[in-house]
Amino acid sequence: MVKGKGKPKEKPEPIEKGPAMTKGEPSNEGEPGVRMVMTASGYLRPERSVRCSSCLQRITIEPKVTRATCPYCDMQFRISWVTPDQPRIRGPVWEALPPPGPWPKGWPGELDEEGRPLKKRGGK
Amino acid sequence: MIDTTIAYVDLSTGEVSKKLIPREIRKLYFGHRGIDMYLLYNHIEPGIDSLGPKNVLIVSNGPFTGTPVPSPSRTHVAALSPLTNGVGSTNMGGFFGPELRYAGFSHLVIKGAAEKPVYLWIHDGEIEIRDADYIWGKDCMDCTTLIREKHNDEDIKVMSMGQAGENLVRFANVRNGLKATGGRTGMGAVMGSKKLKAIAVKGTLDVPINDPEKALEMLIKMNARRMQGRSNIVDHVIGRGAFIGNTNTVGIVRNRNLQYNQMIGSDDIEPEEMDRIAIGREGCFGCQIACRFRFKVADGPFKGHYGAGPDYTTTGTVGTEIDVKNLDVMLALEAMNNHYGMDNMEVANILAWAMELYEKGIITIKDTGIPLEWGNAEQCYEMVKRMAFREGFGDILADGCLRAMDRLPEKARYYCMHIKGLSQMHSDERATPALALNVATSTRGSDHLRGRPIPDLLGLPESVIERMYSGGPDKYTKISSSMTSYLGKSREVFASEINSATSNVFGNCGGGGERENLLNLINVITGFQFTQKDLWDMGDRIYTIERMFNNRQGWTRADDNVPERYYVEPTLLGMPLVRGKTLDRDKFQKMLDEYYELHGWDNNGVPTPETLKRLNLDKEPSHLV
Repeated sequence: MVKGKGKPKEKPEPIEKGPAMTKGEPSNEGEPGVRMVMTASGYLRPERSVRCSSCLQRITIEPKVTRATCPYCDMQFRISWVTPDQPRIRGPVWEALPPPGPWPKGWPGELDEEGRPLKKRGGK
Repeated sequence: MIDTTIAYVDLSTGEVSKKLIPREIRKLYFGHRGIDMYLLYNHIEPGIDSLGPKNVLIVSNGPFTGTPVPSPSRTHVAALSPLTNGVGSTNMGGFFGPELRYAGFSHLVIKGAAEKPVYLWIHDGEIEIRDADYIWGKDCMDCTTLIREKHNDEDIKVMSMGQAGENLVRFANVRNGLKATGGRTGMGAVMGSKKLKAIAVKGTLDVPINDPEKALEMLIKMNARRMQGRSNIVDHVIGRGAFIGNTNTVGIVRNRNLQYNQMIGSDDIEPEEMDRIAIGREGCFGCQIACRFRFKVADGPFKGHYGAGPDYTTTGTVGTEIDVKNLDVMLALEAMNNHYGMDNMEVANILAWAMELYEKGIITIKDTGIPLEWGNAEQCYEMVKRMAFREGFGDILADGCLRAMDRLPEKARYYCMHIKGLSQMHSDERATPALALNVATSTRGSDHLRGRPIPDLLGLPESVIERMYSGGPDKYTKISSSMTSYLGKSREVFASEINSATSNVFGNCGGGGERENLLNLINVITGFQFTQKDLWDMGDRIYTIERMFNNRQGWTRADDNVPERYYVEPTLLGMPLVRGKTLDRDKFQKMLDEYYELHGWDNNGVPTPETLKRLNLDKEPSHLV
């Protein structure tokens, strides 16, 4: 058995979460209070935003944080900063992932069959 | 405007001849990979030995190479592949391609084989065949240094193969500079078979620009815009390894030879860690992005290994695939491969295969000579060396997947991850049908550079995806933006292949930049007037002549497939969307049917007579150059 990949856990262990990210919109309209910036290809996008690697919603990251949680699906990520205004998802928070196999029901981050967040906090 | 020269060198006779490339050929294939594929189809006879003198090594730059267009650095190398027995094709950056152009040549066609080691010395329109005794046996870096010393000129650019090429390791690569590598399909072994150690170039000739003033105006704007692009900023700041952050997070990388689709605990090999080992930046000719770090391992058992990188491939292969979790080890293995002149992707894949066989007891230490345990630095180091010098078990692996399978127990076949004899790349496509179809149908075997439908991984809106893939036949129109969907993916792969082939005719990194400006750019740089349809047809033509070449070599529909494991073993790790996935066999075959239809090929993947006529391929081979 591979170390760290073997024995299934019953429940996720409590871990310290990073600050919640803000919801963002991948459109030219944005949301109130979220500053929009122009991309090189001429699109507007929310400042300090990335796409969640799980539910693919666009989310805004608080400045300087190194961990963050998707407000749509609850997935937790390690964050690095390419520039002070450009965050990037460096990887998942390993301890927050379930053991090998299908995503357990009720585990934070669960999506429906269409890939939409089950958390119902604004997922489309 | 671009009346450039092709040179024919016969190493058996020592004869050298030159010819201008007819504009007729330029219009159909333009340059670089395009013309190379025409040359390959016309100069290779079916049934020849890929390591015999009848194979032909083609080296080229493109119409944009060496001009002020962004990143105009690319060199393309082609031959019959000794690894796959199909299209051999590889593409590298660095400084060699532009220098070859300044020396007066856009294409070299190298035939025959020398009796003793030689290298080509090319300078300002002249080609000499020189004795290579003093560089034979040297690695790629030392070879370059010695040639420069011999000619007393630090500015000479060298494309060389290392000891692996000399030893006919079938995945030996060709290299220039510290990092630029033409890795895939074993072109270094073809050089080795011809006893051609290197090609050294120095040029001072002009490269004419059709409309210099307009070009300058356009390119200043293009370059400024380029450095505002977020992905380019990422490449500039943390390097090309950045993409591993996306794919390993999602769970579409290969770990432990496809036992897992994510490497847990990859923190130390993530590109953010390069700060502690980097000693500078490395970029190719005319590129502001400089997407690599120069590095030198400072401590530990691998102290002194140096090179440049890592790119996504390095991290995915000598990192996640063989479960190496230490940055120094990963970079040292990359440096070793680069010095010996071997393809990282082949080395890591074949090593991962051997490690799984060892883990499962299908092979033992009696076969391998040393233990082969996941991520073990010393064992990896030793086996890489044995591959390069064909020692012991390394000799079996050095022959590549297809031939090694014949020398190992029958059970080993199932665990061999390859497509058409080219090692499966470092990604796991079980959850992503478009990417699976892409690697299955690529004309050089498993490949992510001949039509990678990347937008699937980015969650882009369907309207954006539609815009990216417009231009082809209006069939299977809707493309789902979901990476796990099968809907419209045949069209996405088809269009990606055409776009990729078209972008490979120019000789710069990433094609011509913005699509809207490309036609103008071609005109101001080269004087050629194309329409969007001309470019689309050109890409279609290149892809189809590659398909014709492979069909002639005996490839069939059955070869357009992924490893059996994709259909039967579900993914275990990653994000919820990709967990528990296998590829659906029936849906995959349906995608393949649609894909053939879009290309105008029959159910066996053979281009129809109508398609050949539409693409001006009905008279091939035409032997115009």
